[in-house]
Amino acid sequence: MIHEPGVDRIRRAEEQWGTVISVDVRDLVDDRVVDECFAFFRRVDDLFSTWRPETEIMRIGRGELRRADASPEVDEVLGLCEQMRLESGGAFDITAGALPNVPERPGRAPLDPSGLVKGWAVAKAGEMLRAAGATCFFVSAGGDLVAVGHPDEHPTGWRVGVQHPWEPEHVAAVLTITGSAVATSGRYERGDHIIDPRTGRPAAGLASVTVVGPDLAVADAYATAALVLGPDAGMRWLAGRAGYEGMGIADDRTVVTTAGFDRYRI
Amino acid sequence: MNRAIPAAIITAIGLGALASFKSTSGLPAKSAAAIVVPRTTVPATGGPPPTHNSSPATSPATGGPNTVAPPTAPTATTPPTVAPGPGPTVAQNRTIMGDPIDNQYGTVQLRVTLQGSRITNIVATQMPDSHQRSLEISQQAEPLLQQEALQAQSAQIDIISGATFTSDSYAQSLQSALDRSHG
Repeated sequence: MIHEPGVDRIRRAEEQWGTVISVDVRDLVDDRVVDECFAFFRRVDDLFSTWRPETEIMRIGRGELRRADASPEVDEVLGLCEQMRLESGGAFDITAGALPNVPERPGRAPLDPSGLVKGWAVAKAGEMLRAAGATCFFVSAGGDLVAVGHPDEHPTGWRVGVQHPWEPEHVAAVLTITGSAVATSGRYERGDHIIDPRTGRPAAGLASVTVVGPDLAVADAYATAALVLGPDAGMRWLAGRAGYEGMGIADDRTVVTTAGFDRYRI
Repeated sequence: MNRAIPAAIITAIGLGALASFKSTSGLPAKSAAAIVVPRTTVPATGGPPPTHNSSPATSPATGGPNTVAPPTAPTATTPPTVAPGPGPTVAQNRTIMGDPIDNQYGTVQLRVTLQGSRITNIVATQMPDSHQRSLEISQQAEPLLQQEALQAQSAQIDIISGATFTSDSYAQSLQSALDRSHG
């Protein structure tokens, strides 16, 4: 933890879930709440990691644990995932990894809520910070983030750069975010690792989708679903999600945005 | 940890060069300058991309894939990039090695090139590649993290939203190089 004398700021980053989780708080709050956030992130990993066979999600996937006997967090996440599956017409489906034609790869699991749980956990951490009195902060896990308040250096809101899928020295857009969540799903992250649950084949057509909206768990799932649905159907579907806006970057380099997305762009 | 980087750079301003040898990195100075955006400049929409012409705006057909048609049609535009701005005034490049940092997947060590107080390149001289998952991390983490560190100071971006796959070891090695840069 970096706690500069005379500066009401707490910054902390840890490696979790195979990515880096960063917390930056610009209020004078008890920094034990940040410890609690990271303890929560470790618990989330213990419950939901698909890289370790002993987690609850893996035990449920193997039929060794009933959902009714699982931790309340697991029940909550599975409920949200089911909502997202129904809302997306099956484009978001945590059972895609169990399809017979999906090739074996590290981290593949019969039940994989990774497309939602990261956003869900970051949103929870944001709620913990708010409850502790924080009014200006961000929490980001590998680029899925909540950003609240107005940092001194950017009075209009936090500046969020959207990773450009192919140009490593550029961002594709710069957003001003205050009080919203931003999630990006991309096929450039670990290759074609996002499976279309309807076919078992890798999603195609969109290189990345960024979604801005009130709830990071939902934004995270929406971004994954839109990526699966593709440039036309996915972005149309996204445009129909009340309260959420999105930007998709297609493989042919076309950028498609929903009508209200530009209000976040600087 | 990544957010600590701009602050470390600010602290480095005005301090003398510790290591004053020329950049040994692969990134030419011109490329380094090209990522610099003046702090007051709003990133402009770029022109057509270098490799393909953008396809024309497509009007979506009626009807969503699963649910009702959206109230508003999405709009298609050409892909944006942050426009390159003028380069910084000439300052001597210096290259500093970060500490080798071990994590469960292997060792990460970075070589950081600074021009004045600005990071112009980050090269991983060691990244873990011992097994499948490590390989995935090392192949993806380097360019994305490099981009984040470079971009964060060039466009005053606080946070990057992307499908990043990063490593705290990377950030630690970078931080140690920056600490070393102002001795």
